[in-house]
Amino acid sequence: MQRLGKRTSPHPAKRGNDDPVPEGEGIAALVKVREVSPPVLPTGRLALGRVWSGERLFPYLMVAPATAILLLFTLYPTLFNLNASLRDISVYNFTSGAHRFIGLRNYEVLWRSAEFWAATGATMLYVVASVTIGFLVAFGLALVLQHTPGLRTLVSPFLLVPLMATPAVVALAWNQMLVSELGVVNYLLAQFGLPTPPWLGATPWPLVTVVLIDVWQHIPFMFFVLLAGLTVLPDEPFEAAAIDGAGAWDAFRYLTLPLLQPVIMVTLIFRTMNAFTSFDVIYVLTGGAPGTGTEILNLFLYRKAFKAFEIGQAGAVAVAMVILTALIGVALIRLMQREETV
Amino acid sequence: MILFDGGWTPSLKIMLEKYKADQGVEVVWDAPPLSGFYQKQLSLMLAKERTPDIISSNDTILSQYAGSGLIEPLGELLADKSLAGEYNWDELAERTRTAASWSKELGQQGGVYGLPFELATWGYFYRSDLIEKPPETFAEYLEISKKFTRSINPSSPTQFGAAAHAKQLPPQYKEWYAWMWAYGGELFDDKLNPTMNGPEAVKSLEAFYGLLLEHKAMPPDTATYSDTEKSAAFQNEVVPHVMHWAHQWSVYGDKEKSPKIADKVKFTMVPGMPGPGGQVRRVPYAQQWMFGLNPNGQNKKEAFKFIAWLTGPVGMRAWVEAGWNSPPRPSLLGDAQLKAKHPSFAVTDEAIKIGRYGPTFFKEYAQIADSKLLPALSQVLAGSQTSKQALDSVAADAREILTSAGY
Repeated sequence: MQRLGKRTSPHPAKRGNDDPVPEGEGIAALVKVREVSPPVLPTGRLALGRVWSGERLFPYLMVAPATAILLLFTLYPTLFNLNASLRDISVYNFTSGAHRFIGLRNYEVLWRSAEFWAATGATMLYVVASVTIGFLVAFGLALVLQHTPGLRTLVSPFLLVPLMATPAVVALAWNQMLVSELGVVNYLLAQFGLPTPPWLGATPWPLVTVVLIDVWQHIPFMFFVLLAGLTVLPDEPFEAAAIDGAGAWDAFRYLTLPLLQPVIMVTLIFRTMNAFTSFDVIYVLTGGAPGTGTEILNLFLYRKAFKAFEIGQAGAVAVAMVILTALIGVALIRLMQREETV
Repeated sequence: MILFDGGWTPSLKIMLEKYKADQGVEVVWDAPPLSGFYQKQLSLMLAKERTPDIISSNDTILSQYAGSGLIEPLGELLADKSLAGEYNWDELAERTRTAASWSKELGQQGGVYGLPFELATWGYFYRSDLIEKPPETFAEYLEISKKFTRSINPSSPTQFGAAAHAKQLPPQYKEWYAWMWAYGGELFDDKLNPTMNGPEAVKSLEAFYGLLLEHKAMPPDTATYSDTEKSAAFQNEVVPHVMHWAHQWSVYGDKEKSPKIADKVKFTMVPGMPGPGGQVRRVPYAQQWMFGLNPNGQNKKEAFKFIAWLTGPVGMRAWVEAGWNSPPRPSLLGDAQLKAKHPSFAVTDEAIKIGRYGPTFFKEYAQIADSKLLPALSQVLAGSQTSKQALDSVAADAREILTSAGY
C-alpha cells in the first residue's frame, strides 16, 4: 500500500531503487493499459437516437456557439475575399453589384506588378530581421535572467510595458522621440558625441527603425516564453554533464538548445506570424515612405483597398499573403518535426 | 454623423449642444482620428449601413462618392424651403458651389451633393524677426530657404530653411500643387489627358524637392513629415517659414500653442511665379469640407435640416462666434468684426479669388492622386526616381485608369 504523502513517480523508470514494483506492472502492464475496448458503434434508429441525445449531444452543443462564430467571422470573410479576388470589384461598382467574374486576372496583374514584389521583398526583410534580432536578444536576456531571480523580478515589470502598449500609441511616441532636430533620441546621442542617424529619413534608416521598434515591442513575448521553457528544463542532464566535465558552452550547445527546441520553434512560429501582421506602427510612423521603402504587404494591401479602391486586387493580395504565411508556417512546423525526430 | 476629429472639434461640439437645446434633436457625432477616417466611412458606406445619417467629404473625394452612388443628391431637399430654411446656396462663390457638385457627364452642370462648412486655402507664415520682406516668388522663397540653412550659411539662426508635409497623405500633393500651378503646370488638359509630367510640372517638383535633395535645406526625415512635424519645426524655431493652411494662424499666432514664435509670426499669400505683364501668378491650393447624406440613412429629412441650419448663414455665423475659423461664406469672411477676431479670414477671402481646387469633375481623381501620385512623389524624395521619371509613371498609370473607365 502506498503511504499518504510519499511521492512516487508515475513512471517506473523514475522510481527509486527501493520502490517495490507492484504485481502486474512493468512494460507489459503499460502496454496492456493501451488495449482499450473498441467503441461500440450504434446501429439502427435506436442507436442513432442514443448518439444525438443526452451526454453525447452535450459536447456538440457546447462547441456549437464557438463554431458558429468562427464560421461567421472567419470562414465567411475568407470566402467573400476569395470571391472578391476573382472579380473586377472596385469602389465604383461595389454597391451596384455590376462587377464581373474575371478568373485569375487580378492574380496575373499582381504577378506582373513590380510594386507587389517590392512589398514582398520588404516584408521578408522586415520579418526575418525582426524575428531574428528579437529572438537573439530575448533568448540572451532569458539565459541571463534565468539564474538571477532577484534581477528577474526587478526587470520583468519593465519588460511588460512594450507588450501592453497600443501599437498606434507606440508609433506616435517613437515618432516624437525620433524626429530629427526635435527628438530626444538624437539629442541624447549628440550629447555623447555619437552620430545622429536620420531615423525616419533616407533609405535604409526608416526600415531599420521600424524593425527596431518591432523588436523592442515584441521582445517581452519571446523573453517570457523562452524563460518559462528554460525554468522547466530538468536538472538531471545538466548535473550529469557537469559531473562528466562539460563546460557551460557544451551544456548550452548539447543540452539547453536541444531540450528547449520545441519551445524555441513555437516561439518563432508565433512571432513570425505576428510579424507578418504588422501594420499600425509602420502606417503611423512612415506610411510606407520613403518611396515604398517601408511598404510591407499589409500596407500595400491597404493602398490597394483604400487608396486605389481596387477591392478585387486587394483581395488577391490578401490571398497571396495567406499562401505566403501558410508556406512559411508549414516550413517551420516541418523543421520542428524533423528536429524532434533527430 | 461621422466627421474626423479636427480643428473644428471644440466649436462643433458647442453647435451640437446648441441645436439640441434649440431644436430638441440630438446629433450623435462619431469622430475617429483622420488617419482612420476615410477607411471607416468608406467601409460603412460600402456595407450600406443605415447609420450614420450624415457623412462628410472634401472636394477631392466628393466626385468619387457621387460617381459611386455612395452619397445622396441634395437638389430636391435644397429646394424644399421647409427643410432648407434660410440656407443661401447662391451666396457661395461659384468655385465653392462647383466643388460641392458633380455630374455624370464631363462638362455638365452637376447636381449638389455637399453643403460646405470649411473653406481652407494655403497661406505663407514667416518669422518677421528673420524675414524682413516675405517672398513674392518661389525663386525668392528658395533663396530665403537656403539662406536659413546652417549647412549652407553657418551663421543661420535656424537649422533648416524649409519644412514640408511629405508623408504619403493628401497634403503632400496639395503643397506641391501651389508650386506646379504657379510654374504653369497642369494635372490634366481639357480632354482629360494627363499632363502632370509636362515640363513646367517637372520643373516645379525639381525646384520644390530640390530643397531637400540638392540643397539639404529641409530636415533629413522630411519624407515622413506630416503637418504635425512641419508645424513643430516652425513652432520650435527649426525653420523660419512654412506654407500651411491659412487658418493655422490660430495655432501659430497663439502664445500658448506657439510660445516661441507667436510674437514674431506674420502671414500673407503664398509666393508665385512671374507671369505675363510682370504680375506675380500666385495659385494657392483651396479645399473645402462638406456635409452630405448617407443614401441608406433613415432620417434624411431631419439630417438635412440640421446640416442646412449648421452651414447656412445663421448657423455658420453662430459657429464662427463659437470659435470656428474657416467658414466658406463670403459674408462672414468679409465681415469686419469677424476679420478682427480671425486675421486668417483676410487671406482666405483673397486666396479663394485666385486659388484653385484639385480636379473635382471625374470620380477617378482621388484614386489617381492617392494611389499613384503620392507614392511617386515619395519616390522622388527617397532619391529612387527623378521628378521626370516619377511623373511620367503617374501620367501612364492615370491614362490607363481613365482609359479603362471609358474616358
